Amino acid sequence: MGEMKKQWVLPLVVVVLSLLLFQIRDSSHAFYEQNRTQSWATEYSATADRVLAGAVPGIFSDFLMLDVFSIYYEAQQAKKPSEMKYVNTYLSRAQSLDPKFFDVYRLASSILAYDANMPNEAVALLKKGMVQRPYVWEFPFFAGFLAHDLLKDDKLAYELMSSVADRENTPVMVLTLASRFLESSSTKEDAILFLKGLLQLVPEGNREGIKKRIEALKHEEN
Amino acid sequence: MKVQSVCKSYKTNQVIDQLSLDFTDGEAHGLLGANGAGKSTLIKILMGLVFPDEGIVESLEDIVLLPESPYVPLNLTAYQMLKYACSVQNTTQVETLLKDVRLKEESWHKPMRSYSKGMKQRISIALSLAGNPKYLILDEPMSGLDAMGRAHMLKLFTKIKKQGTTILMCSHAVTDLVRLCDTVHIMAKGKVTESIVIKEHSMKEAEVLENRLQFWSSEHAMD
Amino acid sequence: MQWIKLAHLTLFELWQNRTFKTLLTVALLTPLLAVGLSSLFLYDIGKVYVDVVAAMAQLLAVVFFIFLVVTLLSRDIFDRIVYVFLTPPMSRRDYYIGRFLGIVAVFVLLLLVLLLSSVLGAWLYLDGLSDMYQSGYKWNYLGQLVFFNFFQYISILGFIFFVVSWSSGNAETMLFTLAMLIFSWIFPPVLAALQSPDVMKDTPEFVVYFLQWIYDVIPHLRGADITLSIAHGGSIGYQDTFLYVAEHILYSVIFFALGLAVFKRRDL
Repeated sequence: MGEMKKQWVLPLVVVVLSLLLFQIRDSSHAFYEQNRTQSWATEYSATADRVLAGAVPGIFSDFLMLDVFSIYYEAQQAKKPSEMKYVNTYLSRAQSLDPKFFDVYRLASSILAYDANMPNEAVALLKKGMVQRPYVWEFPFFAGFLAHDLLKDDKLAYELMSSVADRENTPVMVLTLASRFLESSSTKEDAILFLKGLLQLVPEGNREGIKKRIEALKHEEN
Repeated sequence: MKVQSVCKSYKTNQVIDQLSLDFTDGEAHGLLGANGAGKSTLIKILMGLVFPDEGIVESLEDIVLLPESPYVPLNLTAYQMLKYACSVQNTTQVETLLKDVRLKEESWHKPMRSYSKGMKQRISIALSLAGNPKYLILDEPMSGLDAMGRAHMLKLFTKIKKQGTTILMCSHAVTDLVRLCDTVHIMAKGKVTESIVIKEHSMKEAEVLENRLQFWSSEHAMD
Repeated sequence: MQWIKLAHLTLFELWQNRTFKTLLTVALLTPLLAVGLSSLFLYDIGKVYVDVVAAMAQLLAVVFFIFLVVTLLSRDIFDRIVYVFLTPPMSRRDYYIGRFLGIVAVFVLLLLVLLLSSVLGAWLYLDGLSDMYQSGYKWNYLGQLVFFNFFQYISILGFIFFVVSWSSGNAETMLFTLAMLIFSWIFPPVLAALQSPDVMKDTPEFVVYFLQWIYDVIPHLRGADITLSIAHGGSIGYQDTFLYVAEHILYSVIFFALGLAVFKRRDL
């Protein structure tokens, strides 16, 4: 009888630990959800992440990005759009650990803005990217476009797009497009053109939100 | 090899108490005593592994210890370990030594983690003989060996003694001590209580030693 | 010069250890893991590749020092294998130096295997990608990464020799080494966070002063800054490199010398 009992100890411990792990994971989601709007919460998590990441913040930031992918697929596949609200938290944490991580900003301008419907947060992240990577034209341009297209804040869009011209290696087509946005002479067609361009830069699995936006713009145009 | 008025205690436990001993060169000396008599500590003091609180220890350059248990690095092979020991001692007798201790040739190049206790003891003995030492300290050298092995090692140690090596052997096996040693020192409570000269190396002398050991190990012997 | 012989023997001893062979296998397989993980990303593929190599370098080093080095030294001293080594003419000083240098040689070997396999993996995988995806990768940056990782752990090795000189058993040595690793791992970011203006205004001055003092004294496993910089194709300047190396060698020498002084006087 004693032997029988011993056999059950290890599986039981594994089950209990697994349940505990899921509980912690859920609590972590709940914590970030509750405190998402409070700046101190983001600061707190950034410190905790830095402590945990120790000498290897890069790989921690990579894992957080993988979390973003899994949240996106969970939201798409399991039809749980409410899951998308965690994307901002994970992107912010990844950005805080590795401020130069290009993929964070790319996902901010696509998934965060169009699938999670958080353009304010996306612009805020891209602004951080502008500081970290002063030679990259995409960040101010994308941020400016989001301000124009989703936030309808042309003053902010002007501010952001103005800095595109200062950056090296900006393609002429982008400068033309930026100047049209700055002159407020852009049409829905320009926006569709830009979004189609953005579509090419985003992997196939992450294009849903942008496609929807293109459809919406086409509808408005008609 | 000489110690004078040596004392050693661990906290409140006096392990060696004003011990003085002079080992005549070229002879084999035995150390006999009950557990806790201070034999191992004395050996460690002679080897410089333990520092005495008081007293003088003649430091020796050419001294080797065969420890009580066969302490060997388990990931090395016997051949590698012995080759290292010989290089430290500037000798080149690896294979001769391995044959002398009768370690089977097929085990020479196997990691020592696969060895039995007896095999480890054999390689320990070979290690202690690597440099043809002038002074050899043997702490329970026969532990882990079978009867044939014991007889062979006794012969080997006797041969070494005849070559001029001074041996100090610490053992509970009185018969082994009587066969090899010229003098046996009985220890009790950190002191050498009696030194008995072995002349005939006979069973009768072994019985005498047994009796003296029993006497000195009794509670009232030191009073 | 007896220590050279012991260093040589230590190399053999660790090389023939099964755990070490497992670590070598992991080092050889690291590029596969790096390729697998980095292929999941969009742009910074080269950066993720370097991140994985950096993380594996840290992991291998931690396992090497905790499970191999601490165990080796503990077995020597607490299982009394050291009795075999401390036979004249080998002195305690020779033993300490020989073991230290032997371990360093084996650690270098482990890191070299990691470096070579990672460079080969990058050559096969990253070189085929356009510059945009390489995140400024250059093979010598991986060399720098391994170089800095080596010096980080040299100071830890000095600390292990210090702990072994006075500890009373394997568990104690392992505990103190782990504590040191964790401390060096978490303390710099905690202190950096505590020094942010928001937190500073609520912290008593003497606490700030005390924390700053500790921060200056402890060895910094500042792999965080270095790894990130290298992963993004940034090189580390000569002056920073020199200061970093000097700091870690100094810690190592101080701990080693203290350890040797204690070891020379301890009963075995």
